[in-house]
Amino acid sequence: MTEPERDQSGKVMPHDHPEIGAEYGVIRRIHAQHVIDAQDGTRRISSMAYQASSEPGGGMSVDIEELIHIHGLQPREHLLKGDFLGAVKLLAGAYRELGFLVGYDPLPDNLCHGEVWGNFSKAKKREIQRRVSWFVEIGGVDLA
Amino acid sequence: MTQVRRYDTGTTVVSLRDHRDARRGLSDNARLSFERRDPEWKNVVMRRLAELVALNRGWDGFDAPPVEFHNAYFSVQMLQSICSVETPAPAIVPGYYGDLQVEWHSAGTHIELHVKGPNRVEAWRSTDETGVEGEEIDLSTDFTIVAKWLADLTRAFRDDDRARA
Repeated sequence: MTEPERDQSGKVMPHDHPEIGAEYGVIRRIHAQHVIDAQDGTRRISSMAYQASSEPGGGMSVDIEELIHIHGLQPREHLLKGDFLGAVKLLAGAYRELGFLVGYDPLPDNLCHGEVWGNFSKAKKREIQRRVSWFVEIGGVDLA
Repeated sequence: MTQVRRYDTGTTVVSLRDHRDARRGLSDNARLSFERRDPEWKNVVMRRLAELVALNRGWDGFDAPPVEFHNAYFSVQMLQSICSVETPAPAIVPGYYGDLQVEWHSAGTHIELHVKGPNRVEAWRSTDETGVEGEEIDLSTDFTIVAKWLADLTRAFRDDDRARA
């Protein structure tokens, strides 16, 4: 995939990568801190799992499914590092329909890394939460 | 002779110390004291907030800070103003910039209070009546409407509990 444009500090600038097709899977890892015990006895993912990072111009960190396969990686092994318990998937086209940009942001230790940039309002987060499906399922946990 | 009687009302323990003078047969030094017991939700909340303010920087695998203390403190104050003794304990999750979210999910009702900072709360509720879109309000100091939301949820939660019993 073509390297994205970077600013003077080397940081990838928000962009919508033309080589990430609408049908590409965008994978979001789910951290243990965002799996909650609900009052009705169920377990679920909090909507706070879908939020941009705190750094200026930062987006929501994701992995591009096609790149996981191209690099011959095992999804579960690649995604479930540290305190990440599972992962969810939404197509790039779906994010773009919601007004987000889906870009490529390779990291030294993760060539599959991408970002989703845009306005993560409460409504948008809820919409993402309603549309995602399991990519690496956390047993006994509801998506919403 | 000192007699101590304790009456536990669930939230308040009343102690009655009755110092009797055996010679006079009179209680000349009765003392009444009240001990206020914290509601169960508060114990749960305090433990959880203590965990969240103690998160290591980078807990998310990148550079997220722990929940900021002033957000945790404000959340306790907010919950004290909107929760009753019977309110079920909320779930609390960290955000990525020191913020946090307080949430309840029970029997078709979802309430999320995103504490972005002291006096900066995005409140959202979804019920069977509102549908999945729900209703969203930005709040700063007046949480009356959220108190009502929680009263409704608590009532439904208690009714569910009784039905299951």
